Amino acid sequence: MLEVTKENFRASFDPMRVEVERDLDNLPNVPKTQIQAAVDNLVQRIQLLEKAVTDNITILPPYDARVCLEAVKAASERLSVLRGKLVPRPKFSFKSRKMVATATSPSALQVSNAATPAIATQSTVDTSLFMTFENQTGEYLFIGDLQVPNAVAQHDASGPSPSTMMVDTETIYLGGVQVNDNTTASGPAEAEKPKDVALTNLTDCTINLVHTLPLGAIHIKNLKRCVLVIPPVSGSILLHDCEGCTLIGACHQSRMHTSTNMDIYLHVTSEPIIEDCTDMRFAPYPYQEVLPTDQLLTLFVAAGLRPEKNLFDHVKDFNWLRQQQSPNWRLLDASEIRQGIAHHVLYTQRA
Amino acid sequence: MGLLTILKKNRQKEKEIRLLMLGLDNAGKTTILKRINGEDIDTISPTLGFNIKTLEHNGFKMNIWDVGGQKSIRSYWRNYFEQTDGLVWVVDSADRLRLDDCKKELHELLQEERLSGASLLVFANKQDLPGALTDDQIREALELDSIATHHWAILGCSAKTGAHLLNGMDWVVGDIGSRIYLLD
Ligand SMILES: Nc1nc2c(ncn2[C@@H]2O[C@H](COP(=O)(O)OP(=O)(O)OP(=O)(O)O)[C@@H](O)[C@H]2O)c(=O)[nH]1
Ligand SMILES: [Mg+2]
Repeated sequence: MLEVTKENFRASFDPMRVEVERDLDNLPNVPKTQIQAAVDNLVQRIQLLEKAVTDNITILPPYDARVCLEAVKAASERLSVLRGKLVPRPKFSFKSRKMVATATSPSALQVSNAATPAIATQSTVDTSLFMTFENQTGEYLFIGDLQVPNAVAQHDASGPSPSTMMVDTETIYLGGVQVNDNTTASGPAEAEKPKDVALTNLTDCTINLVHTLPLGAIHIKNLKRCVLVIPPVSGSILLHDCEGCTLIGACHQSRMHTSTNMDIYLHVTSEPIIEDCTDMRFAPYPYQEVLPTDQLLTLFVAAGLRPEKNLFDHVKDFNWLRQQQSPNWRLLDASEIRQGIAHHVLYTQRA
Repeated sequence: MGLLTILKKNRQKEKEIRLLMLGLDNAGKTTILKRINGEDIDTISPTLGFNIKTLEHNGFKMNIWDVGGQKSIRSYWRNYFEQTDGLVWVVDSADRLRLDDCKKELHELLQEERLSGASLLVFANKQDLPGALTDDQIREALELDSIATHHWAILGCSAKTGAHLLNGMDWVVGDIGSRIYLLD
């Protein structure tokens, strides 16, 4: 990023402001089907403008600051008026009912008590849209071997079960194969959308999720003595009920629960948390072992992760809300860090 | 003059609304709050306590309380119930594995006496993800139609793109406004 100074601020702010104003002028001409997207886009850009001013408020001359903030306010008010006129009311589902005078009528509460089913009914949700590995022992599991759920089919309620497509396994990153040659069948738009992954009930498995396929959240449950390597993902790593595993992963958020005796090699851009865990050991992500730097950076950028920000050592223990170090986690000593483990999973063991 | 009328009058001066935003951990509550407020959403940590933001919306001053949803701190939610005008329940629409949990926690909340007057807005968040359930599917999974005690609405949204967040706020502010301020 270029450094912002009071001299160059207006030079970068004004063109963005002018573009926003131009798009506001043009908003009445936007086709109905695209109006919501156009408004959302403008909301974001106006927020960015505002943020640019507030972030730099200390270095800006008061006059510039005032002019810029007024421009932001004016744009935001104009957008709000235009939005009211142009955007069709969104599809709400709601149930209206006569107001219950709750302050005076305790009986309303009893109705609510009675109406709530005491027994949880079995959820009938279809889980097929996760990319899933489950109930395996002693296997090598590679995400490139999985079928990719096709989300387009999901929203087509009339269709049969969601159709699937195969990942083209030639597009994997391994062995210097091309990075951007993603030739999945559904076209780039759908392929670029991150897919969520579920890993459940795996014992003594090696799991390799490094692939061109963009991944969102990784839901992990009940893994014993597994080793898993996760590329930079755009969502969270959510882990429950694991024991004796080595996890290597890069993500926005790391949330680990009810687990014990884990080695975690992490790149995480917010504070990782543990809850009801013991014996958790943290170390930095083994960048060089996973991919050559330029390819890895591409993945970081695609996942929206800041490569320079790693808070792996800022662990927060939800069961230890005190100043002193929690007894439930520690950092791995340099001597304990197992060199080559990611490389072994990705390259040696796979071959 | 009844209690309700007095309450109404007192509040009329400030036109303040208190919203409580709850939901399971990882639902996207803090991301929604920061997105609405125009802040950076790339480095949000899981919430250990709570965040509060005051925003102006349609002539109302909204105090939005965002309380962490990790299991071990859900028991603290009740410390925030008092005076709540609107409950915003945020759902990770792609987290199919925990929908039953999500339903259970919501229905438990709805039995809370101190929330009995609150409007309920359900945000079916993360609609930008291809694996996200639609608002109708979430409505069914959470059994919203069985709710007879609260005004409620559900809306698909995305904190990532910002889609429909303001529409949701419009509804909840409008619903609360019509109950508390314009009832005379
Ligand atoms: N794709 C997508 N991800 C989202 C969206 N909203 C939030 N997230 C991600 O979901 C994760 C959790 O978001 P948070 O805002 O921290 O969730 P929270 O509900 O505040 O969680 P607690 O503070 O633990 O209760 C983060 O990785 C966010 O980037 C969304 O609309 N789309
Ligand atoms: Mg939060």
